Formats: sequence, structure tokens, C-alpha cells
Amino acid sequence: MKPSEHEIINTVKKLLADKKIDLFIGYEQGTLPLRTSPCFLVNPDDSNKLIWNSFCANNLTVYLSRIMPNGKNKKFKRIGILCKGCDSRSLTGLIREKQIKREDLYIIGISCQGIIDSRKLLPQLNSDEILSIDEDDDSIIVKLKSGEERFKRNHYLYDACLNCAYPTPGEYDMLVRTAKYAPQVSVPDPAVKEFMGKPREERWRIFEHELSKCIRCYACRNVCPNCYCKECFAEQTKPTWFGVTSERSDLLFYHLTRIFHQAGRCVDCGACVRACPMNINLRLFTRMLVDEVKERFGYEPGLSIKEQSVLAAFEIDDKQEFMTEPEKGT
Amino acid sequence: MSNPYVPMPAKIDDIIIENEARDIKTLKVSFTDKDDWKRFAFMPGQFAEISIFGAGECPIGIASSPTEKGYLLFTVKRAGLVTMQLHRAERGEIIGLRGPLGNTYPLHKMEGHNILIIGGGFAFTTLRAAIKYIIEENNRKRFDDITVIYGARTPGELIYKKELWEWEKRRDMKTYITVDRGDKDWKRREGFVPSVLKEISPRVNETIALVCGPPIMIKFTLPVLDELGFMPESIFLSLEMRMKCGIGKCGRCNIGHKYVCKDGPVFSFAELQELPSEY
Amino acid sequence: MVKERRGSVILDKKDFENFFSLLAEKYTIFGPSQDDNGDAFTKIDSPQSLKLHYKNTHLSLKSYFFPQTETLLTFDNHMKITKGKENETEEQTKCSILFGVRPCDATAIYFLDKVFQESSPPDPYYVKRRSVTRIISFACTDPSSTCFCTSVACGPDSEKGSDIIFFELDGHYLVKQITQEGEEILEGVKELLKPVTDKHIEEKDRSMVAARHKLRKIFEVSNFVKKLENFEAPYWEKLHQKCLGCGICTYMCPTCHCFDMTDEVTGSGGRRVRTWDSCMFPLFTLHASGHNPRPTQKERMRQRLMHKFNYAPKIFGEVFCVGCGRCVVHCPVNLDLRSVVQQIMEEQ
Repeated sequence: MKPSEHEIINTVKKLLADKKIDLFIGYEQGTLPLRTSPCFLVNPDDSNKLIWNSFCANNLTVYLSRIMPNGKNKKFKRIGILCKGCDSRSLTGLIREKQIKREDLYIIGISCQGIIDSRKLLPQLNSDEILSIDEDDDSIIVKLKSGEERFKRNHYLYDACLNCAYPTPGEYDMLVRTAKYAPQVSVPDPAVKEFMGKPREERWRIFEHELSKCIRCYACRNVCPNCYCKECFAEQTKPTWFGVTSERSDLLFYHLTRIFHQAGRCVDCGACVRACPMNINLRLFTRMLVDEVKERFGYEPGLSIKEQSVLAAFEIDDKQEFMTEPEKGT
Repeated sequence: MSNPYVPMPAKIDDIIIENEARDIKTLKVSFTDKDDWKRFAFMPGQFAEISIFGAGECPIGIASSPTEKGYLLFTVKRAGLVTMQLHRAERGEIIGLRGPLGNTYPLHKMEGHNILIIGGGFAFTTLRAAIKYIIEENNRKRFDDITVIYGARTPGELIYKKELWEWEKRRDMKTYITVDRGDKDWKRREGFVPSVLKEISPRVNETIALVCGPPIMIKFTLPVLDELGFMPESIFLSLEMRMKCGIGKCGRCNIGHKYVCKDGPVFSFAELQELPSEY
Repeated sequence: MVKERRGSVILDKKDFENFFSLLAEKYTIFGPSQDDNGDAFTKIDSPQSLKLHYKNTHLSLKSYFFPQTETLLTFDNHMKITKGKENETEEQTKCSILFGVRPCDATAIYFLDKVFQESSPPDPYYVKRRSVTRIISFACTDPSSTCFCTSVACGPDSEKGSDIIFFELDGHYLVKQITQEGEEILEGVKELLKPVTDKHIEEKDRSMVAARHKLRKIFEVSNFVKKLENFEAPYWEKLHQKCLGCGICTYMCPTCHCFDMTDEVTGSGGRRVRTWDSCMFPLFTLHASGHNPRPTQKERMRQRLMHKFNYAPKIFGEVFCVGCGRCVVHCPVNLDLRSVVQQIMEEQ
């Protein structure tokens, strides 16, 4: 067992035994190769189930607004949670938007080296039986039935992780450091930059093509920590904003609106892309808005619990070049 | 093959406001195509899916008896999107009807028995159909004693007032009308339906009970029936559920392995005891 | 021992192209194509485009008969129904063949037939599509690690729902006719078919034993059905915790058939559409009064499992699961149905 895993298990065991928390949300071994699964612990003895590795993909903060609706939960008064860098930014966002209270949480932060995309790695294994998986700073070492193979970590990370500038949580009660790494500077995503460089008709064609695969399962919405609305606009009937079908205009309306609802709030954790069963590149469009907000307002959500929501406030020096003066012409 | 999703057009001939709060209306409708009357042969207990094109459909119990010729009555409470539109409808407007759907009150079984009908508030609709059917001239002699207990929160909330006062006067049935809380003009009894039932203590032998009301009324009425000695097989309830297709395909209205739209909405209490209490 | 030969014939692999061409004269053929790597069924114009060595399609076959979005009727501004019949514009002169279907997906169609076709009243939209479609399935020789068909009384050679089933042998296919419609199809290609021998049957049996060996039987479904009689069991409290309440498991499942009906209005009238729905969504059972018989994910998850494994057997005589494993693969939180069943079986 790695020292970081050991540290997590012991900390959680003590927290639960001392009744400092009533529930801990972490990761346990998944039932599929290269997958882990969220796990909910109330019993200190169950802490041995907890794991930490480069397959701990899920953004666990999505459960917080469900378990603690507006901070009033009688069963679980204080919740412990394991957060990677992106997860802690989601969590900070939930605090900022008054969905949870900081004092109701015990945050175990863990600095992350990036999460491996099982959809990228699995095809390399040729359906061979996996006997065990290990990792070091550089590689993922897979013991297959046919022999051992090493895969360079950086080649198999999730797209969201490739460009990650905040792998270490900013807000925590305890921090587990895993390995030495050089934090990156936050830059616009290269894939988004390439997309934005294309002509407008081509961008629309790509957008429509990607979204035409959608089956409206709403996984992107349900897995996103920011989507905590009790009644989603997609399902309202009084009024009915748009249709319920999987036809072109309904799909575009749903996704366009959801993407814009994320503006200034999305931390690019990649949960939506991971969840989508149709492999739609949702991140391309949400990240576009992340980069635009950074460029226009110099703002990245989730870096401090004292921050304000960028689109709920304004500054005198906000860019206004989109405002037009009718007399002078557009 | 006939299409069970296509409604039959019907015209609204009259609209009656049933209660003081004005959120319960009875629509009197008739089919625009005379042949549709044959296709809509129904019995008390059944319901129809009423369509307002553009808003959708909602399942409403048929409040009139098949003995009332030339029209159908549907009593609608304004609650959601479709019922809101039904309330806005005017005389002469066309709505759609799909039905008859669901099962009926066990009228064959009820023949040769005493009938005890217990209703509360807005849920009295299909019981009105049952009562009208039973007391109809040609049918009455097939049933023994008839007792009706009906209550609402206040006098203004009683529905079918015209029929209630007529039934009170009849000698071939006993009618007990009650309210939870009367007003200064109210001269009849006051009391919750379960208490009135206990007080009246009707005959249990050879009696079948039909019960329809809000969940809270049912919750307190069933123990009283049990105390009086009614067997679960002799008590029948009509349940409500969110429905869409009404023909047991969309999977929405099930209680356990029974679909309320197909195996119900009328269930015996004995049947319900076998099902999970998820309603 | 007399080997079962009735209805079985042999097609040499070298005759497959001719077989395909003969079929294509009478039927429009859909199958897993090389282009999407077997991910979906598309129209196949030549046998070279077929990818028969595939695991299973991404989305299940139910979309062919029960599409995500379906117009039930259209109406004009005067509330007159202008189109109320099953899709008239889709008049087909040729029947279709879905070729290379996995037996689990074909069995799922057999279950959906019970819901939409055999339960009164029949659904005309489903029936119209079903009556012009034939299913030729391919038995599985190389199941996925996530397949669990043998645990739910299905299998790599399940015949339910198929008109014909193909078994791949060395250099040949063993072709078994299952229904009358299957017989009609084989009549049209009879000059290519050869009689089956005991050796062929033995080879087929061996390949199926090997396939079943790969499919570990994880649970005995009939025991699970009985276990679920305890509706108020305490284990439901914890099982649902991971579930996010999205619709992935329902939409990917080949036997899930819940739907919603909604009206849409355009300037000149409108339509009533049927769309897929899921019992995992909170609005599924929400009454207009605000009362919800299934208020939390606990009740909704229990409903999904009970409906598939306890209610469906009571209503239709079948467990509504074919073990295709799509829900297991695609659940975003890895809430694995197989583990859930095992956990429940272990509880008192």
C-alpha cells in the first residue's frame, strides 16, 4: 500500500472513531478494470476499503449538495470528503454559492498527478486479463496474463488533466502530498484554441455533429457538482422552455443552456465527459467558456472560499467592447 | 389495428363549478362523432385520459354512470399543467377522450349485497358514478341496503351538492353528509368521515364497502372498517397515480407488479395488502 | 445419443457472399459495420462491410422498434387530429433483416414484444416496425468480461427473439432456423445450404461450452427473484448511495421500456411525442399535488431492481434482464448490478 493511501485510511479511521465526522466519502476499488468507485463510510472499521490511485476519477463533491441540502442534514452533521485539486475547486464553488457550509466539512486534500483515462488505456491491453496494476511517478505498470507492460503516465491522462494548473487543493483540513511535481501555469486549453481558430461554420458543424450523438440521459448534468437545481430547466413544464425529444433543436437548446449555466462556475474537472455514454466531447465547449471568463475577467472559479461569483458582480474596468452605439453603427 | 393512443374528440357542453374555492369543475361532454359512444362503453370505476391538444393528457375518473345517456361527466381539480388548461376551457371547445381505461367497481359481486359507500372530498367522483348506477330504477332491486357516507373539509368543498340533497330525500338509501368544520348556515352533522362511520356502525354482514378519499381519510377509515368486522376482501378502494399511457406500457403507475391504469384503479384491500405500500 | 439436427443446416464460409447477395435482393440488411467498429447497426450494402467479430453494439437494438423520440399524432389549431396512424410515411416495400444480432439483444426484443405486442392493446407503432423486421443472430464465442447472460437465464446461444441463429465453425456456419419467418428466409437461399452432420453439431456444442465457461455464472437469478419478495429489507438504505439518478442504465438497457408522452405546439398546430423516460428520474412518479410515492433515490433504485427481477416475472413470466452488461460498463459511478445482486443475496 502506498504511504498516501495509508495516511488516508488512518486519518479517516480516527475521524470516524472520534466522531469528528459522521460520514466519509472517498474511493474504493471498482468492479471493472481501471475503474474506482465512490464509497460512503460510517463505520471506522470499513476504512480499509479506501484507496487512492491514478484511477480515482469521480468528482465526489457532487454528493454534497444531495446529502446536505442547504447544510441541514440531521443524519450526517459533519461530512468528511477526499478532494483532488479540481474537486476542491468545485467544493469551494458550492460554498461560494451557499449550498454547503465550510464548518460542516472535513476536507482531506490530496495533490493529484493526473487521472488516467481508462478509455485511452484499455484498448492498449487487448482484452488481456489484468492481474494487477501498480504505478510510480512516471508510469502505470500493468501485470497482464501475457506479461508486464509499462505505460507512460502522461500519454494516458484525461484531456482535462493534461492542462491542469491546480492539482493541489487550495482548501483543506489536512493535505496528503503524493509526489513531487511542477505545478503548471494556467493557460488556455490548446484543443479549445485550435477549435476557436476554425471558421465559424466549421465550429458550428463540429458542435452540431458532437451533440447529435446525445441521447438525453442527463448524466452530464447529474454528475456535475454545479448542477444542483431542485428543478432543472430541462424538465420544467410551467413554463416549458423547450422540447423533450432527442431531435436537433432540443439537443442544441439543452446543451447550449447548460454550458452557459456553467460560465464562471465550471472548474473543468472533466466529470461530464467521463460520464457521457456517447463519448461526446462536452469539455471542448465548457472549457471554451472557462478560458473566455479568465480572459475577460481575470477570474478562475474555486481558488478561494472568499471569492465572489464573477457573473453575479461587476467591476468598473470590465471589458465592454461588445456594447454598440447605434448612431455610430455596429 | 386500432390505435390506442388516438383520442376521440368530444365537445364541452357545460361547465359546473363545484366548490367555493372554484378549483374543482365538472365538465359535461359529449362525443362529436355519434359512433364513438359505442366504443366508449364503460362501467362505474373506470377513467379516461382527457386530452387538451398542446398541453397534454391527464387521467380523470368518469363521474357519470352509463345509465346517464348522451353525456359524460368529468370532475377536474386544478393542479398541474393540463388541469389548468381544462379549467380555462370554455363551452363548445373540443377536448380528446381516450378510454374507457382501467377496471370497474365489482358491481357483479355487489349484487345481492348491502353496499356501503364512503367518500371524502374531491375523491368522490367515481363513487358518484357507482351510486347513480346502483339506484337507477332498473338496477336498484339487484342490490340490498345502500348507505352513503360523504364528507368534505367545509360545506363549500362538498361536490355534487344537487345530487347529495336528492339522495338525502330518497327512502331506498341512507345518506349521511358531514363536514370537518361547518359554517353558520350548516345544519347537518359535523365530524370526520371515519368518526361518522364509527358512529353509524352499519351492518357488516353481506356488505361490500367502496372507499375513495384523500390518503389521510383512508388511513383512518380502514381501521374503523376493520373494527366493525369488515374483511379485507369486502373493502374496495380506488387509487390515484401519475399516469401517462393508461394502457400499462409506459411503466409509470405501478404498485408492485400491478399497474394502477390496467389492474386498477379499483383494488380490494386484500389485494393491496399483498402489494408494497408505495403509493 | 441422437444429436439435434432438425432445422439446422450448414453454410460454407466461401458461400457467404452469395448468401448475402441473395438475401439483399429480397431484404434490406442492417448489421454491425466495419466503419464504426461494430458500434452500431447500419445499412450494409456489401458483405465486406460487415464486422461480425464484434462484442456488442453501443446502444441496444430497442431503438429500431421503440425509438428515443416518436411522433404519436399531430393536430391542427382546431384540435383536429391530422395524423393519428402509425408512421404512414415509412411505407416499406422490403422487409429488413437485422443481421449479426447478439442473442442477448434478440432475447431483449422478445421481452419487448411481450410489452408492446402481446399485452393488450397492442402498440401499432411498435408492431408496424416489428412485423417488417427479421432478426438473424450470431451466437457468442468470445463474450466480454462484463457479460453475465448465463446468470439471468439467457446465454450465448439463446434463441428467443431470433428468426435464425448462426454458429461460427471452422470454415462453415451452422445455421439454425427458429421461426416460420426464418424458414422463409432460408427457402430463398436453399441452394447454398448443405445438410448438417454430427461432427458439425459436436463442434458447435464444444464452442458453446467454451463460451459458457468464459461467462462465469455469478448468481442464480431465480433465487434473487425470491429474495426480492422482502420489499422493506434494510439493505436498500445503503445500496442507492452512489447512484446519481441519471438515465444511463435505463437508456442503454435493451429491455427498459418506460416512456413519457408530451405535447408540443408549433404555429400551425402541434404533435404528441413519445420519448424515453426513466424510473431513476425524480419526476417520474411526481403527482401534480406534490406527493411523490418514490421521494428518494432509495425508492427509485428499489423500483428499478424490483421491476426487472420481481415484478416483470409476475407480469410477463420473464426476468427483464439479459445480462448484456451495458449498465455495468457505462454507469458513471461504477454502481455494478452484479455486485448489488451479490450483496443482496448475502444479506439475511
